[in-house]
Amino acid sequence: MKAQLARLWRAWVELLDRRESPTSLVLVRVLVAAAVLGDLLQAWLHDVIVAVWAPPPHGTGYASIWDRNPPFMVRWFGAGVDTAELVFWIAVVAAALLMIGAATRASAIVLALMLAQLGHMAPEGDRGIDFLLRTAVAILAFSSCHARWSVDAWLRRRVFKRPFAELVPAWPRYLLFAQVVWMYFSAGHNKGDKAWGPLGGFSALANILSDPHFARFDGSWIPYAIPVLAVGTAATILFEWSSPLMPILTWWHRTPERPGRLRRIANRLRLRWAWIATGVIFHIGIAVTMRLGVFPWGMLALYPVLFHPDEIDRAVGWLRARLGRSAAALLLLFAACGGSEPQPPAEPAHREHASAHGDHRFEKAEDWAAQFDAPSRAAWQKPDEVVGLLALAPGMTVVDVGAGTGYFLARLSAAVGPNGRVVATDIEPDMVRYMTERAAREKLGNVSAVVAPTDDVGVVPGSADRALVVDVWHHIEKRDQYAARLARALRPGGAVVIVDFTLESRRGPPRDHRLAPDTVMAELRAGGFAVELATESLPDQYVVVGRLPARGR
Amino acid sequence: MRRSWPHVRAGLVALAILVGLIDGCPIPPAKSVSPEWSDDVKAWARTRRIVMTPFKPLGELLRLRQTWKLFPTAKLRQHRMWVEARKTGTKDDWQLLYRPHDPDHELHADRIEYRRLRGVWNPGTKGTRSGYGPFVEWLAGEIFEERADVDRVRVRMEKIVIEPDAGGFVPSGTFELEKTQGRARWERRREKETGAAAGAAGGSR
Repeated sequence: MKAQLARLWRAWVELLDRRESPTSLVLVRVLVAAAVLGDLLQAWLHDVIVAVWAPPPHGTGYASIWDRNPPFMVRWFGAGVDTAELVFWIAVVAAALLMIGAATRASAIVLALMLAQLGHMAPEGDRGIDFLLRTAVAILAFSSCHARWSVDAWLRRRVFKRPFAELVPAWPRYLLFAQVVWMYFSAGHNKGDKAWGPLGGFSALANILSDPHFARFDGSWIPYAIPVLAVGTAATILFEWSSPLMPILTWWHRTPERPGRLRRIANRLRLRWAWIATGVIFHIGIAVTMRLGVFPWGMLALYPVLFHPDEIDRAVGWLRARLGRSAAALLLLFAACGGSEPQPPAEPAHREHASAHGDHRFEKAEDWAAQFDAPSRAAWQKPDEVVGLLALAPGMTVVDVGAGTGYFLARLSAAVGPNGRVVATDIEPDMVRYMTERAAREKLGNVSAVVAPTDDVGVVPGSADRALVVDVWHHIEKRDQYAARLARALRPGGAVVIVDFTLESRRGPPRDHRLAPDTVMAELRAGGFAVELATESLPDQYVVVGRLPARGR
Repeated sequence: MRRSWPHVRAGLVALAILVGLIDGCPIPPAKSVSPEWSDDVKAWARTRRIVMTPFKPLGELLRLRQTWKLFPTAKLRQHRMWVEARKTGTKDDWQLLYRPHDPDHELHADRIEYRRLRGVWNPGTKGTRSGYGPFVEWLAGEIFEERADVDRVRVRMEKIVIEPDAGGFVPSGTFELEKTQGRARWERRREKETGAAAGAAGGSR
């Protein structure tokens, strides 16, 4: 029992110690702040700031609670119109700053506090959605939701030269996920009216849409839609009651390779997607048919937490590939995924080996391993074909430059045999630590991993027969010089194989970071290689092979 | 500290989730609990109050809670608000100014229907909320500012019966929750405030 509890605790600690791309949190930050800002500005546009938040006789603020326990802004500045306006405008400024990611943590804390003050000042106008958005803002204050597409990220990169890590703690997303799930479940079990159940004929939605205080349109269409509304009511209840299944469905979706009949069925029926789609339709339906203000949009603003950041990155990459960058950006109006600088879709392919570039931080190799070593990568990376192009023979020494988590190590190790050597290099010590452990775990006795800066190949000159550079070349700044270093590292007759993304590829870095094959070939030539473009079948990449003369240069 | 931080963080997150669940755990209203369960429910409510006490200041500071209600009821007996003004010098010449879904009477509709303001005037299952009176007072002031020809503003709720089959609702023609505000009172209050403001400005000089 004690051991079991200890194991559970370890699993919990490990879960909350995970890191991931910040895309989901960034998107939530922008959308939640936009929803709050839009809602507040609506009050300003309708000229009801005083009406809502000031005490009588100027407004409808709930003065009696102030007598008992006034909110701190009222204690400090007094109850009146000026205080209401002061708190309102501080909240507006904080929401705007949070949206653009300027002084993000401070903005989030101030916004949460000011929204709470506004809630205390007008409790009857402070609805469930306000509680939810306030909770989300408070959680965002502790997250790295400013790691991309924010003024903070821009300043860190451009001014302070200390960019944010590519991976950020995932626990705030998990907590927001749990909040969304609980919110729906709680809403479901608080629906006590029989109109929400079969005894009331699932008539709740028809009833609500007939209420003139909430309905957007008059009710003349309702008699024709009653069966549909009954289905909608039943679906709403099912959706809310089933929300605790979402974490399980998400886990099953992320681990399809694991055994289990329920997992297989749920994944085949796409139950997770069905649940999310029901929620989206539900809220858009509410936005179209009811006048509930920010409620449906505020709810949808939290939906990105239901997705793993990689899913959003892939979706954005897919859109960009089909619509072009600006159209995709327009379509995903708040798609923060582009980052504070044009970011690639967070494909494992791009991240693999990317640590050769000094700007990138890969502090936790374990977090990257799930992405870099995903089984799906083999379909487009074609590692056997890539290793085949190296023409390795037993006894050779091969350098895997910027090897990341060591995706190619097992294949390279097998190809050079027990008398050969594989040297895996990376700029990031944690990647090197990971590869060392991996080699031991996978019993790759001929593999060693070393830290190598961007201006060093990592092996003694003239000691290697082959070099493999996968998805790394475009990260190297002084490539001509690096090509010359590579040439020095290789023995006469040695060869380098460079694999990188085509300009048209739907994967990989931003297009302006990509290199045409001709450029790579010219750079290798400048380093002293005889080059050729290899014939291969990689769908998204090209392969340039550089060879040294057999008898030295 | 660096090594123990993941454990501390995991503990804090677990605590946050646990406290949220305790806070959000439903407690049925006393009247709907059968007598044999009544003591258990009371004990649970007491326990929750005690457990939540240390977290109360934070909950109040950020005004957080974990009980969520999205249209918990969908009752058939509802209300429709009428805002009316009386012509000066008449006894009973009331003009309808606002009524939901009435395109001929939509004075200040955007403002009245702003969701936070609707939260103040829309009657709940237990009748009007405490902001209803101040709402009428505020709305009357807005109307008196614009309309010199009216001396009284009345806000009342027409009882309606929801009948989706009949195309929405059926008005009953009977009203309740009526509140009125007279111009004379509004003007007195305004003069008082103007005087107070002038006094304060004079004092500050």
